[in-house]
Amino acid sequence: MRRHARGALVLAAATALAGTLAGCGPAAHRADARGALESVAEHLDTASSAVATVQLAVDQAVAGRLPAVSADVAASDAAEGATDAVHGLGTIVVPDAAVGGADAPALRDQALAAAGQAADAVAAVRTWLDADGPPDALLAQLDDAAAALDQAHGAVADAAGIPS
Amino acid sequence: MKKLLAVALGILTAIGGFLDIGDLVTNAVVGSRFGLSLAWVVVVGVVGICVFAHMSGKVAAVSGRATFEIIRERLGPRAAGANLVASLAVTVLTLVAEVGGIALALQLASSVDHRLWVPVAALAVWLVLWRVKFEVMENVTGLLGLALVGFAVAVFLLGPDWGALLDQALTPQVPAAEGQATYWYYAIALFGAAMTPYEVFFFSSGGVEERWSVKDLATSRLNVLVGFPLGGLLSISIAACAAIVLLPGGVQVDALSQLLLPVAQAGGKLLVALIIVGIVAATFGAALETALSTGYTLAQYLGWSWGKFRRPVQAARFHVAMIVALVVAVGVLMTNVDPVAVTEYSVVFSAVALPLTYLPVLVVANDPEYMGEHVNGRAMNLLGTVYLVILVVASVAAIPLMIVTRAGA
Amino acid sequence: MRRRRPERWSGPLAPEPRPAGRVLDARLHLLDRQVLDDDEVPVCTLDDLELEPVDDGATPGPHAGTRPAGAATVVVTALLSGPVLRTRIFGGRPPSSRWQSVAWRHVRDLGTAVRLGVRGDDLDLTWPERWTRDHVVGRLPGGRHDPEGRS
Repeated sequence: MRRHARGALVLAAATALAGTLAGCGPAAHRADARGALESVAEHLDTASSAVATVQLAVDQAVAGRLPAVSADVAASDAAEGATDAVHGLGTIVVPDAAVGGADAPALRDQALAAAGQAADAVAAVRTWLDADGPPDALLAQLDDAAAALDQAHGAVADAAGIPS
Repeated sequence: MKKLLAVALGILTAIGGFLDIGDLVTNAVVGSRFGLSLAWVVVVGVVGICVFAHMSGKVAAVSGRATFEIIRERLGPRAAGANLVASLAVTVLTLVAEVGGIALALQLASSVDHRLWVPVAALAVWLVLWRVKFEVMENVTGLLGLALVGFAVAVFLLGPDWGALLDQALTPQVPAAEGQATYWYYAIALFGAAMTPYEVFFFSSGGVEERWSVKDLATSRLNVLVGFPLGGLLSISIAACAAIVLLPGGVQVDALSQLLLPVAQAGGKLLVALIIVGIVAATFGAALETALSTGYTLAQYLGWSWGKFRRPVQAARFHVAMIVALVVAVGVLMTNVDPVAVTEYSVVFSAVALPLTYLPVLVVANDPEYMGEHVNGRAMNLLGTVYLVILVVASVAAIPLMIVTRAGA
Repeated sequence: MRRRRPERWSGPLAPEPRPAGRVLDARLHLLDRQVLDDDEVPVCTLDDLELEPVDDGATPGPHAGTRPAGAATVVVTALLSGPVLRTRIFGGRPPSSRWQSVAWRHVRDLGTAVRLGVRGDDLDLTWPERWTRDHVVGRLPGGRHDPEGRS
């Protein structure tokens, strides 16, 4: 009876270990092109969310509704999210293949460029908060970044057949 | 008159103490991604926590024994020990999330990095555990936590399309951009956030701390039955704020600072300040409760002297256990983990551990040796059993769903 | 669900005549109960009982006729506890030096907890608590402060 229990325990531990390795290890990067594009789309969502966050924060800071300290925290959190997206996109392994009539590596590069633009725009928010000038140029920069992200997301979604 | 005041105070602290970092984060995340289509889960969770909080409070009041003493007595050292390990792991994980939550909230008010606030927050928690009277601690954090009513105010000030909101809540549908599995994963997370297991240890041990007797049962039932549903309403209003402002903007919540955006839009700086006070109080109160719960479970299982009503020297190992738990929490947060991510995991693991803590309470509430004439009635048992089934289903489904959805990505 | 339990002093299989006093199932009613001292302070959880055989030739007990041959009458002489959790969970037998005992005569009441008539601090068993108190908690500032404000 006890031997069975011990065996079960070892089995459970082994399964947990294998699961962790499978979940967190290199296999987590999806090998196939379509899967890779799904990951690209997720990172683009993260970057879009960061841009949308600072757009709201800037609007409210300009209107005097959000305290400067809180706006700064929101901007730095968003900057972290946008940079994470850039890093994430940079580490995805995209197989050199055509997916849905589009070149997968080219799609990734477009996404990476858009995310980089977004990260720059979000970072500019913190500088603007410190300098406290007129927000027009900043808002235009954020709008451009958001448009680039949308475009990249649309292209990726079309190719991979994800509802966008 | 005095009695009425006491009842009102109890209800107010129950509302203010209902929310913790898990509720704040999970409701905001869910609101920004699913609108109000998961509001029904909060309702299910609130009824569940009412049922079990009432039961564990009753056990403590009638028998004078706290939950984990009884779990060990009834299940024996082996099964109770396994239960202890699981419960303690989830409670410490929740403590990590709460201390991180205090630090994040203080960052919102100061823009000083939250990693610098972590040791300060933990020290403050310890000082309160060390010196402050139990009732004072409960009442102050509960009343300040009431500031979170600001979220409900914000919903009204935002002037949403009430019909559309109600429609989302009453006829829930999985949004087009989200998968079925992700929807159910977040349903379980929200359920775990509403019904965190540490609350059962806290209620039963708190009942002993406050020396509840059978006479106090009616008051405690009223606090729970009025306070918790109103607390649940606050939960839903957080989700509603996110659904009104963040969902259309395409913001997916992954930081506590995003919670302030709808509030700022609705009520400006004053309301933002109020909400920050509320978040600090709610996370601080919950950090106290989870730290106490680690001490309670360990001391009750091992037969140590415990209780905040005693001088620290008279419950020495209990206090040492809480200090160790806080040190562990600070250590984990110092590894630069994101407290919001810890919170998201902690609510799901809470859901996994729920049956472990609730089954023994249900069993003991039916034991005439402990409960005498106060054993559960038929209706209570029916409700308790229905909830046990829900808990087991949620617990079994949580981990597979976490793997399938890659933790809700 | 609301099955009535038989009263505890007449177990379902209890043979007649009923013995005087209460019959306790050591496993069900004593093992793993909290042991509280005179001031309701937890002392330990009960891990085992020390039993000693007595020569009962002269005084046949209530079950004298029904008892299987060869069984000896034993009396509980002490409550046992100590750092024995490992063997209680994983099985086996701890060295007898691990056990720490509280004499049975100190027991005042048996209910949902075992209540003693002595102060926990006077028992050998509570040395880890006293050690923690003297070396850790008592040395921190405010460790002797009463949170309830009693002096």
